Amino acid sequence: MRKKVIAILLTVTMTAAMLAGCGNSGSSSDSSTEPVQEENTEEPATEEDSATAEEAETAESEAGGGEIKTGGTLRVGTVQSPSVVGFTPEVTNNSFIQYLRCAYESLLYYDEAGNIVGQLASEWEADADAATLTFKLVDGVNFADGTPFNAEAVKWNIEQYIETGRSETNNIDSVEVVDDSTVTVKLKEWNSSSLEMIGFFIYYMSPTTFDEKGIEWMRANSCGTGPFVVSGFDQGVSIKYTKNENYRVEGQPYLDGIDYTIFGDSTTLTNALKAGEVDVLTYGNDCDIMKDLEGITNIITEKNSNGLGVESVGIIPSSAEESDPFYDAKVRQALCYAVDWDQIVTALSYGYYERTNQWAAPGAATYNTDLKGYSYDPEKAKALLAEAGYADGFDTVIYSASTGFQQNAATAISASLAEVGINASVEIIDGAKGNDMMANGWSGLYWHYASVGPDLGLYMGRHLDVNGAYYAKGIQHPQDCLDLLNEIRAAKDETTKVDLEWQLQEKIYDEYALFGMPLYVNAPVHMRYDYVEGAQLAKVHAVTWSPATTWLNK
Amino acid sequence: MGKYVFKRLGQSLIVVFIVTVIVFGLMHLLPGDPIQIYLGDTATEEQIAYYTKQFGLDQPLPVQYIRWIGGLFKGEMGRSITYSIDVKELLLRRVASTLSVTFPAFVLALLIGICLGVITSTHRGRTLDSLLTSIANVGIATPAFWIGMILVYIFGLKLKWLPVQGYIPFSESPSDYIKCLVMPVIVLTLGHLSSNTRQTRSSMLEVISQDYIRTARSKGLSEKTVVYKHALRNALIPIVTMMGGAVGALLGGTVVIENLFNIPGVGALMLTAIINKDYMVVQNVTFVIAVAVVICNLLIDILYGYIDPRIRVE
Repeated sequence: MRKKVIAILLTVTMTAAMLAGCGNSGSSSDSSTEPVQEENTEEPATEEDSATAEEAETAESEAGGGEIKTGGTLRVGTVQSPSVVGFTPEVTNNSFIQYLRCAYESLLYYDEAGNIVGQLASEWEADADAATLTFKLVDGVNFADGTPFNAEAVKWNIEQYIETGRSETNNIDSVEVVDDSTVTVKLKEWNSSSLEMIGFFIYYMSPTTFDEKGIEWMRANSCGTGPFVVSGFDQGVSIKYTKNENYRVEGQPYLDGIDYTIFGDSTTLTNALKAGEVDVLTYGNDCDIMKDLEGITNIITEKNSNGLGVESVGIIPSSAEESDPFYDAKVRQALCYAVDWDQIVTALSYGYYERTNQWAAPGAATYNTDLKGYSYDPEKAKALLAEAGYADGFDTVIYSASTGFQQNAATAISASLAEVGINASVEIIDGAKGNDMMANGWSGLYWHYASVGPDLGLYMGRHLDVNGAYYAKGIQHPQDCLDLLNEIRAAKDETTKVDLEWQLQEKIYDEYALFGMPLYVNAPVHMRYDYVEGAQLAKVHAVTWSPATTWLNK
Repeated sequence: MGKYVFKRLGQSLIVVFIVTVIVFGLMHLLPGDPIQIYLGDTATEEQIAYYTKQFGLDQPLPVQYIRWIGGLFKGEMGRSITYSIDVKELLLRRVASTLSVTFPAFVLALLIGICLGVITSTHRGRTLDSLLTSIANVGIATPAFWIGMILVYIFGLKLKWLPVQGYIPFSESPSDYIKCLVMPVIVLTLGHLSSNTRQTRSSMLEVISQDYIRTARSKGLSEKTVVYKHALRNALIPIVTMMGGAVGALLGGTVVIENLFNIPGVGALMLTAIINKDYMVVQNVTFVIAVAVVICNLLIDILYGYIDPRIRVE
């Protein structure tokens, strides 16, 4: 009898404990389970502006929280793990630009409105007829080793990028040193994206230090013109920066150092932020993280609002093979009508994700407000399927990562498609398989990750071009779309370029439904404690911040 | 004994060779190109070709395999694609942090497990036995990550007594080193403690019922001598066998605990390497663990002979 009582008590205790544990719905969306998806971004120059970036940054930070306090070390937590921090041509992932900007700078930068401003360049000239870009460098800038930043250094760095085959420099024919502070880049042919590609995505290392110490040292260290230098790099674990005493802006940086800790699990990272063990959390895009931190009043969420550097996530059907049901545009359009995309995104993201229906974030210059789009209309979907010869439906597969939102969304999409006769089974895949499918094609439906910075010539080209880097082998390449793409690249002024981009949006989405249905804008989201001032996280570009003007108001 | 050891070493070499072939083959069968994963979707064909050649992945598979094995004989482990450094250097960094967590947990789980196992076996059928056995059963059934999350919530977030994550090397700060390891060590200890307790209890019960134990008691020996000198020594064989099996976990770390507490150990390294198809890291870590396991098993076989002379190989 006594044993029975003890057994019952223990069973009840155990059940209660299990239920309490299972009630925690915090899911861990590990970035490593998703395929690498971010592209280098570039944005259309709307005007040439000689205002330097640091002037804008200084004004911004001084508007922050009263008198600036110097000193202290900023602790940043992130899931983005670089393998190289110092040899800039090998830092290829957009999410690693946050590290580059600690120790390095570029010729051009942006302001909050998305306009190009100078950083290491004080003036620039883009000559479409001559297919040249000329940059006048800011005077008196030195690298962290004290050697001068000049035209020779610019030429050397660009040549490093060319040698490693970086896409930003594919169109460069030659680099000419005009004088000590002027350099001209000659392009193979005019491309409207080149100014931003070369101006923003090339980061300048000291040739002197590189020659002395070699590439291996440079990979794990740094010598740039930026506000900090790498003082410690443990791959996959941490990166430490200390102040660059030779920084060109007097009085900056305000911090003594920055300590990055790399996390393998986003739940652990969130806990570290809540416990005050990190001051800033970068790339907290996951809606579960945002929900977990909701209501904590001294943690502020920063998100980009000008559309630079953001991504979209959607569902893309395979359309390359004639035998594939999605080969027919009507079937792709039926897919778009068959699902209530708004409801799925709103419900499963707790309202955190912003919807988009094209290759742009709402509000960006390339966002076509005249796009018809697809409303939720299962009857129309069935009619289109019947017209295409699939009145009885067909079988297909939705490939999905194992992250909470995508897996749940795939299940919901599958249920909606079943209502119109499309039997879509859900198959969970890992990042490696996903990358393989992106590179070599797939059959069925897959998640579409697209960098939707406002320059379709660059970003959509990587998917739409016949030899595009990703998704290209799984989709069709309508000639009229390719022609528009080339016209965009050859555009000599911004107005013409944007007009052509709107036309391309219409063709791709309304006419061909080529990329299926974009779901939401996946803008990097960063969280900081309210005492972290002047950081400008994602303010001018989704993947950047301002280490030089950051200070700790405590 | 010498002949036996030599024979076992030969067998071990064959086992390790088979492991290397299997891990090499499996990694190359997995879909995905590690260079494309490393470079991201900005990669141009030229870049992919450039880095494929740099990492020697343009060579035929047998050549890659032979180069890898040849490098091992020279003490070279190749270069990690994901981290762009030598695998040997990477592994050495990670092994230290893994052992900082797994070794104390292993020792604590063993010592406490044996003690609890002895207590439950000598109090069989009584309240203490029922209580401790039930707790052990709950411990086996409860996922370690759940216990970890509860500890993080209570001691890290609510009470703020301990850090929720991280690893500080002992040389940097001994006090922070200990604070960071308290929770992960507790979680790992609890996980193994339950199985050690049950195994010890089971072995002890078998031994205690033997005639020679009754004889020892009849001779007037104290209960303490009967239990610890006679019974426990005979009950140790299965426990020692279990220790041998734990070596793999000792070196491999536990992925879940390392991710939960953000400890930069071998387990977390392997997880990242498998996802990113970092061939050299996966192959070399598997090789090191395989070698450690076969050596440990050999040592345990020899140890059997010293624990129980009846088992001596001659």
